[in-house]
Amino acid sequence: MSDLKIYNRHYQSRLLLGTARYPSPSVMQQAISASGTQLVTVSLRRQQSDPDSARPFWAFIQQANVDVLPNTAGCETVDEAMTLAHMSRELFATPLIKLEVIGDSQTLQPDMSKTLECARLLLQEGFEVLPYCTDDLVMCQALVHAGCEVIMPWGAPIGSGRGLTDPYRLRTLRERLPQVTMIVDAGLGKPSHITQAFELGADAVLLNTAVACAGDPVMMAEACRFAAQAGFMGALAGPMIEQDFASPSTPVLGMPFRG
Amino acid sequence: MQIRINGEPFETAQHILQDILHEWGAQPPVTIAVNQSFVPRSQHDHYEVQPQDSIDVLTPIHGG
Repeated sequence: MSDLKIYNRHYQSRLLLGTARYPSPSVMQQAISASGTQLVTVSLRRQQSDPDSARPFWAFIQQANVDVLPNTAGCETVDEAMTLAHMSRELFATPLIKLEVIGDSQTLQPDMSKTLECARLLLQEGFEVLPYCTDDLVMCQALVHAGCEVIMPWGAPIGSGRGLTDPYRLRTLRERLPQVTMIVDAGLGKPSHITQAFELGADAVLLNTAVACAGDPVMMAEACRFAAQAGFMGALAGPMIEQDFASPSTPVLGMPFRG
Repeated sequence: MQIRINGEPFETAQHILQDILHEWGAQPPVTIAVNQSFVPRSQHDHYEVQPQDSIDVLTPIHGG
């Protein structure tokens, strides 16, 4: 099977995993391992008065042997996102950036015009931008035309677990933007949502709350790993065409007892 | 001089960013912004902080 391509990087795993909201750093580390992910999201925040409190997290990530994808979560302006991207590039030593510029505090819907403006600036500076975006076709086209090789449309609001609220729009994105790497991000709540995302044409999915807030995060991480594999392989294999009427699987010819 | 670090008032007699970070107790790995602008690590040992400047000391944290 082909690898997942993120700019010039290739990954066997098609599941990206967030590192927030786990019961403990240890559970997070076990979930990362069970998921098979090779790319995890991280962030930056102000150092707290007890700097030792953040050390276990970063130590576990460094031991996990995975690439990191810093985000600009919480940013509401282009200036905030640009500054946080610069700081992330220095500290995490990667040009990858998951660009988030939030426009609405209740739904955490991204502000697409600011996201586009910021993406253009970051791409000019050599960042490899993965924009968190809505499923708006025209704005996603603009991101691709600006140079984004990856888009990350939402399935539903962050952390909602509602699944894919508008499959039509995701399918349309796939059809209209066949070359871009499409990672469905946000709102996925369970393994069936993952397989559906791949059936609609996703190249990968990004999960966090679905795993971290499951009853057993480690088992859910493994379930999501299998779902991503099954979803991608199923889509690649070419599902049968749905029809309205039954069609017997067992041959009718030679049916006994009649006539 | 009076400055702010991570949103809190901080009094210091130092002026060089690196010295102020040391005095405040920044624990690596950190990355720094002054007045919402990124200051690369290579500038910390000669960057002059001004009174009323606001310094952000950021460190890795979990994220989605």
